[in-house]
Amino acid sequence: MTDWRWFYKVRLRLRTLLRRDQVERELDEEFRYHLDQRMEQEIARGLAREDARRVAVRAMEGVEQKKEECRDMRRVNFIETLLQDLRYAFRGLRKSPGFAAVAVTTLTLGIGASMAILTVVNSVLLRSLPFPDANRLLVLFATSPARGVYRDSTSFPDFLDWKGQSQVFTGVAAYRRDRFNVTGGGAPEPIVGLRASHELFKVLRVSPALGRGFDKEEQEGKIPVAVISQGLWMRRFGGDPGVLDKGILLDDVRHSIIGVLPQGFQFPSFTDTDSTHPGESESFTWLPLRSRPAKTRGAGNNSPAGA
Amino acid sequence: MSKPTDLVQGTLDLLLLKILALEPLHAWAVSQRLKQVSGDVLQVSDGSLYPALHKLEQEGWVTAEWKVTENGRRAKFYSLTRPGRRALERESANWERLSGAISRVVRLSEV
Repeated sequence: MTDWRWFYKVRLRLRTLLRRDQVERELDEEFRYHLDQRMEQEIARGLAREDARRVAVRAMEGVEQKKEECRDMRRVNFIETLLQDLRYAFRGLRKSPGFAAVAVTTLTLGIGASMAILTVVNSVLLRSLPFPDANRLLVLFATSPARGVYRDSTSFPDFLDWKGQSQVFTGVAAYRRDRFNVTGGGAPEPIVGLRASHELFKVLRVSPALGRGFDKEEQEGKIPVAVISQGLWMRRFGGDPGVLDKGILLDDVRHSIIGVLPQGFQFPSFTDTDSTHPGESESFTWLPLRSRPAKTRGAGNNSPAGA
Repeated sequence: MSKPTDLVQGTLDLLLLKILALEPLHAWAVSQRLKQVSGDVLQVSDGSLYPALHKLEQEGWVTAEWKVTENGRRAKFYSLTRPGRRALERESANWERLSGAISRVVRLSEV
């Protein structure tokens, strides 16, 4: 059983809104017809014309009031009233520009401040990280309450201990932010990047769009390798699929490109101030994190990420 | 919304639907028919009829059409739509149920 009532309803409401004059005229005409008929009836009963009119009007119990009730039935009165109110408000504001200016400024500042706060809260607190199972990702920090240090990075040996001795994580990886100078094959430029342990691919569940990530051997081996971002690949290599055979000069050392990260993937997330080329914040590389023999336990600047 | 005090709330809709189910009528004729059929028992003021009819129209139960009457004037004729017919069946059944129940209660004899 289809309900066709909405068809009648929509048609009538549109008509009321768009052809208001006609609808009003018809309302008038309908009431006038009734009053005339009633008058004739009363005249036929022997009343004088004026008396008949009075009786007819009284029988309606308030002609204008009933008309208004009919208008209420159309359920679009509130739209008409709203438009009238808006026009009235607009005229009022034009008459007192000072008040209008203050009101507009107040609203602007209020809305602006709320928006700014919401933007920050949204990106910092509400929006989840762009990784699978982001709610299971966390960053581990070293703490030393005695020295008042609570969010410190850690050393590579400590990272190895954390990784080896903890059982609560599916995986633990370490990374360190770094900067590199890219030279050769185009203008030299500084880019940002990471030195990461090979587990980071697994922890963030990212697999390169092209090629592969580095493994344990490459992390510990002597041959320099790099995984570059999609942005850098497009910009410096023109999206050439043969890039895997090529090398990239980072800080004057030739690195073999073994992989290209997926499009839109960003880790860490760069703010524009991080990048020397604003808007090209998608240009970055990942290099294997090397253990530096000189480092001792308890000192270092690697941030392990657990998952 | 004005409702005739002598009518149980909602029954005016039922009466109007029933009257219009018999033939399309303009409001004046509806008021005459009401008086005629109910023998002046049901007091519906002339004015109250209009909001009620307009409500039925907005609900999609009746539809209106301007036609020329027998005395040569234009009048707004209301007729039942298909949803209106279904509403009438529903309301009639409700009314039978309600009035039947009330009658049974009223006729209870004291023991």
